[in-house]
Amino acid sequence: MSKQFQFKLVLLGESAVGKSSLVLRFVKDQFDDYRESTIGAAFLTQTVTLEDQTTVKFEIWDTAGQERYKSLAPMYYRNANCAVVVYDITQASSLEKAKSWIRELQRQADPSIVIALCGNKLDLAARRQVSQEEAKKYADEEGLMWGETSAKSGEGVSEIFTAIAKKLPLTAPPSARGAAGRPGAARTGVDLNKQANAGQGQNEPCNC
Amino acid sequence: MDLSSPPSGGSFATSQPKTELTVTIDPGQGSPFTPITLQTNDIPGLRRVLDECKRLKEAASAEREGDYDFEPFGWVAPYIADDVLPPLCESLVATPYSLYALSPIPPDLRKIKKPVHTRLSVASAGLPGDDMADVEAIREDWMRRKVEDDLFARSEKAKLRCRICFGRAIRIGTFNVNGKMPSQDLSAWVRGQVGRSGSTFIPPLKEISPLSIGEVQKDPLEERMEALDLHPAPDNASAIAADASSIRTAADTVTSGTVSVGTVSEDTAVSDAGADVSSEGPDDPDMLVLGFQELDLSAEALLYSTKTVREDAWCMAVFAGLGEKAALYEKLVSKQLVGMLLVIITKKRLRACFSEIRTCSVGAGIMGMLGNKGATAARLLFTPLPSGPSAADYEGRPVTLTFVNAHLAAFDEMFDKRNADFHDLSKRLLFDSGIVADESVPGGGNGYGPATIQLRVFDTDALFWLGDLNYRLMLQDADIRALLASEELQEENIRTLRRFDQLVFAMRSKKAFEDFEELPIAHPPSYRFAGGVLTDRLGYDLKRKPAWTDRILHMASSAISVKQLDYSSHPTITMSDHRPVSAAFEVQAPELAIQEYEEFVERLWRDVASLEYLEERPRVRVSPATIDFGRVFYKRAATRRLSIENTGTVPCCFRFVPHAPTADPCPLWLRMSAMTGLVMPGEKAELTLSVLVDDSIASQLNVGITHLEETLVLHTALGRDHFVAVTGDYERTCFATSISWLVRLPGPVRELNSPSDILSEDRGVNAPREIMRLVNWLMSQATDVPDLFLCLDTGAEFDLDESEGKGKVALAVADTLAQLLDSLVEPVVPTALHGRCAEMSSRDEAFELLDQFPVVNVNVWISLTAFLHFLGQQETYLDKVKRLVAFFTPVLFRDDLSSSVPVSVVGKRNFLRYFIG
Repeated sequence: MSKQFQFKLVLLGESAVGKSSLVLRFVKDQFDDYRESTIGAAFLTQTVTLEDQTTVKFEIWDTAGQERYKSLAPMYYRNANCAVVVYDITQASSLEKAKSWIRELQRQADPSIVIALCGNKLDLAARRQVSQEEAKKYADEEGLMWGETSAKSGEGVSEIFTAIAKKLPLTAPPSARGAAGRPGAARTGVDLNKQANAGQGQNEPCNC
Repeated sequence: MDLSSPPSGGSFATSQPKTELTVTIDPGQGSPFTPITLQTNDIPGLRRVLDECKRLKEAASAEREGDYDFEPFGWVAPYIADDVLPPLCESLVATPYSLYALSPIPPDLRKIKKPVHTRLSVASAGLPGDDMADVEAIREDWMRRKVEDDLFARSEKAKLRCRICFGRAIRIGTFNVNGKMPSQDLSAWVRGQVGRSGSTFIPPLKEISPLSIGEVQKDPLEERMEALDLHPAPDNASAIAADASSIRTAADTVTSGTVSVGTVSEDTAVSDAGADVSSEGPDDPDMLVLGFQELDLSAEALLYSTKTVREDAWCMAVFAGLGEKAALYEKLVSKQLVGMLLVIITKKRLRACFSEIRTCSVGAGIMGMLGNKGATAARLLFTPLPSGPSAADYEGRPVTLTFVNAHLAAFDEMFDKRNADFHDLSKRLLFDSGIVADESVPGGGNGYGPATIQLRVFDTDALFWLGDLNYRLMLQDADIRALLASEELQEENIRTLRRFDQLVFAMRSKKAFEDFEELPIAHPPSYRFAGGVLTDRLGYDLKRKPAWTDRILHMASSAISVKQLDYSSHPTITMSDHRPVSAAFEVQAPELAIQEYEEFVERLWRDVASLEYLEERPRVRVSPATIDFGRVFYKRAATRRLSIENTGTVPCCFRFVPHAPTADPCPLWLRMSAMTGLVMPGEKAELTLSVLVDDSIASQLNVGITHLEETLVLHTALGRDHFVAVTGDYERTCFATSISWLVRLPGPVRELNSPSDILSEDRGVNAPREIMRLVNWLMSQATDVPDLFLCLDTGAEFDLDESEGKGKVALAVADTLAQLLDSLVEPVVPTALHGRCAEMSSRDEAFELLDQFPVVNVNVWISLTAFLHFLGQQETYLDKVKRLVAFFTPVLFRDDLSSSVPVSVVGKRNFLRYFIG
């Protein structure tokens, strides 16, 4: 019998590094050349199947990168099991921004959070400003996962999410989230683990 | 014992010492509940309790397998039935969700009075709640609005043709008759101020006095009453038995006779009084609803209340009070429980509009059972008569009207009991709809589960709640009498008294009658009057505080328009210790064919029926992403638009969510025209955001950070969150601050850059410059302006002619001063000292007490009262001082409305009087 797990994943990083594109590639295997800047936070899900037939369902929150909305980010990374912090390999400043996000996560997020540093826009390697060595060294020092991707070509995208899935603690039940319904998962009952808490938590959030 | 979570694994032990049985309910090991022990000698009762325990235990263990059809005892139903939904329209039984819009039973008024966002699941940014349930609630609300905005509004446009129904009024009256029999003309109460001409029909008092009640049968008056159809004729009686179909037929028959409003059809003119006098006037109500209390105070009436002698006598008196118009009316239904009687009288012409008439009653008196207190109620459907030519096979959509006549617990101190009575009656007053709830359940013979759907009094389009509600005034006895005794200040004093009315307090604090409406009372208290020596000058009994015990409240859904036109008491009717009270309402219901309505709703439903199951995610464009209000001023509203455009292919439900689960989705200074909504693909929802800084917000912003900034989070159900940044810069004001802060301002308040720039306490000025400027200007420029502060109260013309601008400016300046003083966070007289002030019995004492005020408050007080004193001297009559005192007392001594033991108003006025009188 295959096992199912469900994890909350949040994407963080400077505006225009390609967070939404990365998610779109991962979830729908699509790419838009012209995407509007995200003003808000999008929720999507995607399931990864590992070699041992274990399936990992990611509940992904793709957040707005603009500085103006920074104060809202904690609302989205609280209770997250994993975070993908994205920078643009053609913009050195975006790595600095990524580092500041990582510091914030280390300080304020769940201590067991799995963080992956992701250099995007690998298709533009010709204009590279951030070397692989530099980023990798930083990631090693901080104990982060690291990888480079191209949302445009698709290179490295599924690899980084699969790597995260493998790194997550698949033995323990995933996190102690409240049983409040998640979009798309609220009543469909896809998650085996959820049914156990459904009884006690279901009544609670609904005050109607 | 908690019926909802029966003890699992528990055991019941019975033992039998002597004749009493002891039952111990042990919740079992590891349970947080302690065992409960009960003693009884009621063996059959105990058997039922044990049966129920066993059944619950069985249900509890079976529920885990999810297949036990849990059915509680019938008597618990009113207490747990809050979420029982009415059945669907037959054509929609196949849909997965119940659809209020199509149910023949209107939704609970209490529920739809609450904005939909308060009924959604708990959610916040990044933590969506139960989106599926939210979609249902938002969709339901959207459908209701669509029906109201599109369908009802459309029928309103055709108003003159088809919206006439209760074009005139429903007149409602309540009268606690204190066990008396009718002995006076009731026309003032049943007809209001009109109908004096009908005096020839007022019966001689003697003929229906209690002493002659036995002889009434032979009286010529009675014969007339019979001719007037006082008692329901046999065919009406069968209609009251609520056979809907027969009523519909009746309606159809009348319809084909093309009865039109404004003319009298032939069969209503049966009166022997002749066609002249019985023709309808524009003020004759279509419906007369009268509630009596204490109809019969005799001891045996508590136990046997089958006699209708008193009901007949009062009905007769009512019809007599209608004078020559009585011929137009007939009794539709009545319901009596001991002393409480509800009578509904309608125009004969409209009789066919009423159907499905149900009544019920509940005793709430001694032991919660006896009928000395409680309520009787009636519920009926009103179907507007079609006025156009299309009448043949037209079936109109009815509206539901419900009337409750209640008598709640008496005595000043029983405030909580009255509130409890209200809630108890709300639960226990149930009408049997006759609709079988679930055909698979065999009839309720075994006491399990109701066989038919029970309707609550709130399951209606309009609810009128009248009666002797017995709410009193929270002021001291002497205060009330003094305020009532003053003739020249009657209006002002009634307004003052109203602030201390327990019912108003209960409504405001949501303890009872939440969301009910009532026109502000302008009549004197209707209780308690007496004859003889133990009364005050106004006739009020010295042993009881006067109070507005007799009330008429209402509540209506948007499916119907109810407007209260009048609210009065009738001091000429003196036979009881209460005075009767009446209210007139204009009620309008859209005239719509059922078929048209149902088609409309079904069409709406088709578009949104399964939206929570769609694979496609909703997509919207929210613009603008940033809203800047610019400079924001105290009490000056500013608005901006926000549009939510559905750019996807599926309907989108949205709601604003807070940043954290316990927070508010929207900051206090911002209001949104909607907190939720549904947008169809290709459509756009336009919201209005408005910023308004009122006293309570200004009091915080004035002394804090003035930059307003908030990011609103708009969550689309099953989709993403959108951010809308809202900003503004508040300009500080001297309003809504404190005197002690104002004196520490280094200059005008707008020049203050940061709250920390304020002067230290010892460096402040003697009195706020802002208040002093206004007082000084008025003192030097405007003491000759008549009716300063008072022209709105006295109705005096604004003095603008002779000195053109000056008078106008003076009035405005005076008003500014009053508003500035009223906006202070703490009134000029510190709240803690109000009690002491009210106790002062001489001018010297009063001046001495000023030492207790903070110095700056004394300075304000002295200069202000000196000015008012001067103003008071400008005219010879004493009246002026009295009026100024009455006007300024609530400003300078703002009442603490959260306190249930208010400080004497008269005492506070006297204190002020010592300074300006």
